[in-house]
Amino acid sequence: MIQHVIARYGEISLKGNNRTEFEKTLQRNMQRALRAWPEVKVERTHGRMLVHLNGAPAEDVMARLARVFGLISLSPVRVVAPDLQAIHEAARALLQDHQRQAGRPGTFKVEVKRVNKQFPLRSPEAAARIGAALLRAGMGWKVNVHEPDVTVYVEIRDVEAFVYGTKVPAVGGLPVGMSGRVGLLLSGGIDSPVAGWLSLKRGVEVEAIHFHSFPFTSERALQKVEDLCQVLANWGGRIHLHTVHFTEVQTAIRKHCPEELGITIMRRMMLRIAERIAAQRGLLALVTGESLGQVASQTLESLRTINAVTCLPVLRPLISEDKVDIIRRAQAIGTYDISILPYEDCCTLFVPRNPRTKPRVEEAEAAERALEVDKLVAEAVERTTMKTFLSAW
Amino acid sequence: MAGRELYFDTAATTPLLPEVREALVAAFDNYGNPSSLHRKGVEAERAMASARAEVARCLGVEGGSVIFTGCGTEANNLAIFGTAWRHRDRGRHIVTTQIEHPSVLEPVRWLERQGWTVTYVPPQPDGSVRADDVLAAVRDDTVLVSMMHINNETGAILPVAEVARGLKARRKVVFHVDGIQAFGKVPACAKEAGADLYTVSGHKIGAPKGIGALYIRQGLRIDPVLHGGGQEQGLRSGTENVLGIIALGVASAVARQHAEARWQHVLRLADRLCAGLADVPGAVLQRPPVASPYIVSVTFPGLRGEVMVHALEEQGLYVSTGSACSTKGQHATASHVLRAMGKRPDEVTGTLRFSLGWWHTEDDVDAALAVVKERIGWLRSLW
Repeated sequence: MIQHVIARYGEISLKGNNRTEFEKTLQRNMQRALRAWPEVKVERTHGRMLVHLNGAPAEDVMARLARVFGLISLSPVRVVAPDLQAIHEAARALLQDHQRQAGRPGTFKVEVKRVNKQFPLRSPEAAARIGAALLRAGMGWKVNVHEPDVTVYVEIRDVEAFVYGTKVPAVGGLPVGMSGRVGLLLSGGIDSPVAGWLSLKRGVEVEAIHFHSFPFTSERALQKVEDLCQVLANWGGRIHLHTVHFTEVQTAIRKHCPEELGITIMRRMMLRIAERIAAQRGLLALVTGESLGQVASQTLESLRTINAVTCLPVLRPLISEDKVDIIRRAQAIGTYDISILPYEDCCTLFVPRNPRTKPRVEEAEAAERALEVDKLVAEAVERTTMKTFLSAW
Repeated sequence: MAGRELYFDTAATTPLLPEVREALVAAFDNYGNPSSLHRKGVEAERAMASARAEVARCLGVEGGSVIFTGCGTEANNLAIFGTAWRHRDRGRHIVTTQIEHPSVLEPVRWLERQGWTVTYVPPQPDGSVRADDVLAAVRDDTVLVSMMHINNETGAILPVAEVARGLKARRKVVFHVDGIQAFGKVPACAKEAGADLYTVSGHKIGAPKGIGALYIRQGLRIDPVLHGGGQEQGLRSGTENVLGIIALGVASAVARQHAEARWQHVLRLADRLCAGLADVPGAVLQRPPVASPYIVSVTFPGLRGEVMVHALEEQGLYVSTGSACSTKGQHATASHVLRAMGKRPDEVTGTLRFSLGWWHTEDDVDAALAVVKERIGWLRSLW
């Protein structure tokens, strides 16, 4: 019977205060992720988390934990009486589980940790006895102490013993909330949600910023962005979405700026508005889904000209990714099917026939002269609304 | 945002009629299954029988049967598959038009993939369909002619009566008319159409979504699509949607009483709307020579339908691009009707459909026109 789950985290290079903060944040995030099972308790112990199931279903709990950023692997733990016979039976069940999955017996070793020093056998002795019993059990398993398929861990405690060995990989990364907050420029496309997910994975809280240009983009396009935020919130726990009413900016650009620079100036306006929201919300950086060379606005010249309007760091986690890899990630995250719904987004409708692929900063500045930049930015920020999404998993 | 809601999308769906709401509320707790032997069942059956009679009256038919279905699409499917399967020994040829609704086109295309032959009669550039073209397509092995009474995108009234007369000489050909945009608007529509099979939908005339019906002329046999407990004379098994049926009955009764007066009223509104739209710079009316006043189609070449819909919506005016049903995953696809009429791609994507309701007033039309002029002017200033 599985009674506990051991959850391991990586990033062992963390030291001191960082480490404590990491562990506290991770514990809180785990407990939050498991709120569907209030009986489950997460305990910080010996450089790992011990999850007390208290009757909750092990498989469901593990599936949920596998998606908590900061955890690298999980093991279901069998809890038995602290005597050799009971431990042996649990170890056998463990090897049988593996054999069922692999379709054949493999190699193993046994590692014993004796927390209860009153236990009559020393650790190496106990390991040898358990190993010998497993060999005698006639299951076909062989010992390999250097590269075993399965390591059977046995922890002998005061009133119980833990037996575990199966390792299920988890998502990795850092616990969300320990690396500060960023503003994610979220369109309805494939790339920006992936950039947001990668940011969450590095432990930052993400506040999404979406530019809505009704009637050029529809209510359904906004719904799509909200659905994407919900998916990100499922992973990251909570996402704030700032919806910027961008119509006046779009139409002003359309009226006052040369068509071929329309996208460049639009992106510059988006960054200016995002920077203001960042200042209000205490966001330390902006994140975009840009990938070098993917479209006209993503050449180095273009990125430079767009970037010139802000001194906030602009993080671009996808900058060197190929489209196919981004798509694969989007599918794994669960944003792809939403992203490909065919509504107009800000970028498609105003695409000029011949966009400048290498706009210079001076050109953009000259093109913006007829634009009331400060006023437009201030009004757009003024009309921005916020909505919050919480994990639905 | 305008304070006033101007809903000009009645061809997509209509609000619930107050009379229907009242009847539904009164019937909500009558939960009997019409198939039950006891009194509860008898009560439900009685309510259904009177609804059936109202639908028949609104269709203008005597005799024959009204089979309730889950929607207009299902009734079209039942008409086509039911006829094709039942009479497959007579031949394997179907005649229809290029401007039918997908709930007719897709079933016949499916049959085509099973080895049937289908002739799709093209419309004229003005959106009308010539009866002679339809009749000329009929062959010795034709089993079914299926055409709509009123086109849902252009409002074109198709010459169904003329086709029916032409088919009199060919007694073996079944004549199906999709009357979804005509039912409750054209007085005695099924009789007028001379149809063997006639499709009806509830939510276009103030009943809720989820109820439709197929009229079947007396003596005509078709096969069911849904098999089971044998409800609806074995043609549509499944426990009846009693509430939906009651709603359709009430809506049919109301529509029949007022059909003629409302047609005249809406005709005046449509003329006013067309005159106003014609004044908008760049607008091209798509008015077939014989058209329902309930549907007005207009093109703004160079503008995108989806953007126009949202721009109008912002001021409280609700219209469609082509038909609401022609959206795939809520995204407008190029209208097959307008393409069949030979329209250029920019005309197809720049077309809006206004559909009127009998409750609209001249004021509503003027208010809608004011919104159109202002918003289209604004969009034109950007592109």
